[in-house]
Amino acid sequence: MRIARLRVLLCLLVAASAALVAQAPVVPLPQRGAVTVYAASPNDLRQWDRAIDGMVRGRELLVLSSRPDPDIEGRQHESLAQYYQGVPVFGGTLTRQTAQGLTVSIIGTVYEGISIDTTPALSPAQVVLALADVSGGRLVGDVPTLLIFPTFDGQYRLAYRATMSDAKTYIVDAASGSVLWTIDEIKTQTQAQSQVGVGTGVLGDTKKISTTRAGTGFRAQDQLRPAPIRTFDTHGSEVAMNRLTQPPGATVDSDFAVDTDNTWADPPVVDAHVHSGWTEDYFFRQLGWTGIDNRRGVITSVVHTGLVDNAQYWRPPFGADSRGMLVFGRTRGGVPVTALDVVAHEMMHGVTNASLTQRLGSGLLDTLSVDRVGPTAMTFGGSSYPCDTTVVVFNDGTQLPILCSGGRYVLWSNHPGAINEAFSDVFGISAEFFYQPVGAGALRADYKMGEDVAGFGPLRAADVPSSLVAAASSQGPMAYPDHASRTFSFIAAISQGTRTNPIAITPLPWLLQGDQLVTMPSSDSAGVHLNSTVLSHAFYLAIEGGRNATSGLTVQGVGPANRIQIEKSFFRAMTVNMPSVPTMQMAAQATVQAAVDLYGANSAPAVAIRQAMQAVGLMN
Amino acid sequence: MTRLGYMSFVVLVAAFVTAAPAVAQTRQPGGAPSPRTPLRDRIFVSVDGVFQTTATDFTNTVTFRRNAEDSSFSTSYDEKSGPAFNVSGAGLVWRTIAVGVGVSRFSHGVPGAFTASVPHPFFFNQDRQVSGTINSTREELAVHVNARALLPLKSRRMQAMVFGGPSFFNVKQDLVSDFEISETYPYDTATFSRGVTNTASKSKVGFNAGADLAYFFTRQMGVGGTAQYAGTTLALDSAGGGTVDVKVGGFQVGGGLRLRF
Repeated sequence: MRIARLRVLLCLLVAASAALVAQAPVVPLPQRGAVTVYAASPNDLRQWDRAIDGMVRGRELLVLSSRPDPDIEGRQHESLAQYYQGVPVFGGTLTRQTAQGLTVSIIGTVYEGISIDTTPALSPAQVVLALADVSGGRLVGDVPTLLIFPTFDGQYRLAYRATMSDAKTYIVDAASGSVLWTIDEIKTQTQAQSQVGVGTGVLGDTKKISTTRAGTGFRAQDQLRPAPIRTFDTHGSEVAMNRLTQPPGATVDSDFAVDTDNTWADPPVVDAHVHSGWTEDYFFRQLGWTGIDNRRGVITSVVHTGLVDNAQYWRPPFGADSRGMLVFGRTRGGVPVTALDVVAHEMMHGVTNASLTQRLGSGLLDTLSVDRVGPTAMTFGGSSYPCDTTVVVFNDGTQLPILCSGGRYVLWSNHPGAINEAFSDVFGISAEFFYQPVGAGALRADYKMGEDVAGFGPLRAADVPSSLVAAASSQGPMAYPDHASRTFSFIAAISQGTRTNPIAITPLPWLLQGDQLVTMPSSDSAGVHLNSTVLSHAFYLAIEGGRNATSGLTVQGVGPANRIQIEKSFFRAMTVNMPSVPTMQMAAQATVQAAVDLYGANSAPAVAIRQAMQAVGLMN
Repeated sequence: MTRLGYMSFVVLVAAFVTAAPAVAQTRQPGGAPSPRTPLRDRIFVSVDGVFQTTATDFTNTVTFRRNAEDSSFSTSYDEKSGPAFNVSGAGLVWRTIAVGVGVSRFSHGVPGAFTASVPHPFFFNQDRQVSGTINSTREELAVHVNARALLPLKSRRMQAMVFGGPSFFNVKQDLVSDFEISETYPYDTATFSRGVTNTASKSKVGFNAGADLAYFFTRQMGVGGTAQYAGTTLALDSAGGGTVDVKVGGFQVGGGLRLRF
């Protein structure tokens, strides 16, 4: 669950902490033009319906898909994407739910005030060449496509979107070739002939393992489930890992983990393979979802990877056969990071990505949202650093100015990323509760993540988020947030453009407490794991009930016996209602809406989720 | 043989035995005792269709390993009564004592009730219960060797005999050795599709005892009725390395052609 960029960001931290230099001021207006759409009241719905219909007629919105509701008969879901002169607008997506032709809900974001030339100065080939220099890799997936990118100063840029072999998708200015934004395609969790064998897991637990006869032995290939599961063993080979992760992700028979007598004694193979199957079963039995993509696509895991203190989900086109892949590592103490909640967490990343991609053309898009505006100056080491005049100096000598608004520090976080992690935690937890008896200790269901991996977890606690240390900051240990007011928000530097014309920004591992600079080991991609506990805590409160320690608000939970109602609501929120660039508040609305859809506005689960979202500060 | 079978047998034998003195005590007209009729015939042949009554239901339980877990299935075989075919012959060896040999064949369908606990492919201790019916067949072939005692009767048209001796049985019985189920993900339930049977075969010596009463239309040809018990218990080899005890034979009642020379 610690991110791959950790080492890089540590370097950033050391360099930046030592080099704060005064420079000229700038006043951007962050994310101007973005209009958050959430309409559930009849008046809002009528107004937005008219507006959306008008945009559809004007070809500003295109209906990407229209599908019947998987849970409610008579409901229909439209997924709409915003276009400007035939070019898609990055993050401009909406979902509209109708019942017998009447609109029930609308959730998403549209951008207004777009007025740019859509003729690119650079060709796709030129962009690929430029990106080859930047990424050190090659193009994977489709030829670069044009889009309208809303920049952080409220302007719009014509840009290309291209995915390179370094597992990053780049948004590149179509005029200058500069990188405006990058999206990490790895989601981390810092985790024939059918036969049934027996395997021993990491904790010595014996379980059945679905395999396939191959030659005189058996291989970790499950063909008994509708979405086949295969588990590969790279034996620590970096070459094999690169071959599998990089498109086209060519696979060979020798990639399979194998056993001679179908009595498997390699714990990470057993746990990764079996827990993938159990998670598939959980999704199918409880939520009516098949595999990762709901289309019986193969699920691939790989173990003995050399990955340390981590588990990851690589989104397509990365991973074996370009279909995504679960990658499991070990702790520094050698314990495989393959516990059930870890595996289910990573698989949920895949579900999130697949469901949004099928509806909206992309998964959740990591973007930065402004959480608040800070002071005009910060204090560090006894010195004061005005926002307008401070730059960050990196080890390689690069100097980046700090992004300010009205002379004040702007504090950002990655909401889609935090939502992604929160929902993965929710279903990691839910898988545990489906299979394991409730309690504390090994192989017991609880609201903690990764607690069964010695020397690794618990990583996060949805029941009492503040009980665990999120990071060791320069001000001491910092707890995970249980409320929106306690989320980690980061100072950002301008990575493209100037103070007067900022185009792209990058989060720094820096927070502000009052005017005091607090340095962190990492920005965690702007708090994707750090801030996830706000939503996962709401999930806990909606089931178990209780009082939020920060707001003091009490939630009447549905009770453990009815946990499935909350699980279904969260799952529907992600797979049916969620737009591709949501805020945490939007995710809260989407979840409440899902409960209303499934159980009614005044039902116990809808009330519990609404109360829970209010208790954690995501709804009024 | 069941209790009822034994009782029937005893009653029939008693009837034949008591019939002989009754005939002997019959007086000829005029009141003079009639001399016994000397036996002129030395060879006796019977061809009978009989009805074999049997109550030898049995259950075979077989352990098996499926989905990495041990379990078992049971088949209860419902043995039915049915027609059989007997041919026998005897030769007089001394006074009213004859030695005979006969062959009987009994073949019939055997319905069975099948039940099994089928382990789940993904989880321990989550067996699915399946049940269904199977059809098998049994074929019994028996060779009966016996000593026969002809009972004196007043009329030469009537002939009665009792007999007993060893029987050599060979039985072929279809036994369920495996089974197929239909199941679909997530495999919480399964449905019995069919049983796979193997024919088990075994031979063993048993015994036979019975009585025969005939009426001759001509000097050499007649009709008769017979009642006999012939049976034994044998252990058939079963799937999974075990055996199952099966009673073969049973009580037969029938009748047919009688020849004597």
